[in-house]
Amino acid sequence: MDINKIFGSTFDLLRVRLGLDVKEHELISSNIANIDTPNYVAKKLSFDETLERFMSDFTPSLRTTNPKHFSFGAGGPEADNFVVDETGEVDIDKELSRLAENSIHYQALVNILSKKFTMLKLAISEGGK
Amino acid sequence: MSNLLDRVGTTQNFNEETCGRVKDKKEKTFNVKFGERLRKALEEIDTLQEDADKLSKELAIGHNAPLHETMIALEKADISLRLFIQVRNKVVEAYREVMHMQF
Amino acid sequence: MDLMTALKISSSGMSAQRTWMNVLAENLANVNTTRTQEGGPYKRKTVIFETVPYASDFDELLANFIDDSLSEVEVSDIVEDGRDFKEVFDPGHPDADEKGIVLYPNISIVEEMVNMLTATRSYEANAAVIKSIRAMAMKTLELGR
Repeated sequence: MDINKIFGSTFDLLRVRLGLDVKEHELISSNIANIDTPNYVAKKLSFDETLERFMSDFTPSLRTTNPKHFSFGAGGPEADNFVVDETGEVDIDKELSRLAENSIHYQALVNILSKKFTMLKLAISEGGK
Repeated sequence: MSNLLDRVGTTQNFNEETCGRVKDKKEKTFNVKFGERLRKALEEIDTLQEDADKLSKELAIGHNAPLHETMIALEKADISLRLFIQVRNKVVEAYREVMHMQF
Repeated sequence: MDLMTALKISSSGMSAQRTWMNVLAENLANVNTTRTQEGGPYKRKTVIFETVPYASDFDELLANFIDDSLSEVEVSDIVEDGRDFKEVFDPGHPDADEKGIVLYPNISIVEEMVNMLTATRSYEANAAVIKSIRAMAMKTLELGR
């Protein structure tokens, strides 16, 4: 009886994606903080097909052994591989809109994850009756 | 036919000893299989509890633990424990039913 | 490696912008200052923004891969503008030289006001980041409730 099986691969996918959204938010905050820094090149995560393919093939993680590597030691990609330099300086309008989009996306994923947990708990407590 | 009868034995063999032994054997099989499973499950749950604990500690000491990872680990620990408790209750219930079976 | 990281970065941005605003305010206040303690008119000041690679602590640096994609920002230096002073012909002024020229700080009010707007906008952008982080973190805390 593998306890982790009840969680399924979706939980892991959501978890890893949340980690990537956090990374993206860090990059956005770095860009906006350096908005007036000369020669600073804006950065973002690149969601090209490599990442998309990886995400669609995502398999449930094994237990991580290194507590410091939670998001990425669990079979997820190293986010660094996907950091891409923009061409040129920071565009404040683009960054602000990306900020809003990322914030909403992150919160949506949290909502979904939360709902899934709640439903699981419901199934466990009510299921046997 | 007579062989069979011989095998089954005379009524004197159907005493408390033999019946008791059968009961023990059933109990043992039950215990071995389910006991193993429960113990393994308990280990896994313990692991999830440890993960949640580790992350909670890191969060308490500094800001090294990603917030979402900590919350997710806590939920997993919570849910797995609930599941185990439910399963254990059912198992104990089933076990009791089996033990009350008359032979 | 967390939302808190982004928070620190944004707050560094706000600090830097606020420093810039202080410098701009000083420039504007001294637009007509012909006399300073060092002698001569007030020299316009300007700030230098510089990236500071983000590292929360040494432990993390060793344990994780070194992430050089994140940078905080700081005002690494406040430098004096080296441009020539403004020359105004005003023989009656106590600081006029033999030719009747008074040296004024080379500060364009319009330029400083525009910079003020930029600094304010950048400051507010950083504040927007912090606001969004707070929303995300609060949401995360409600997982499973």
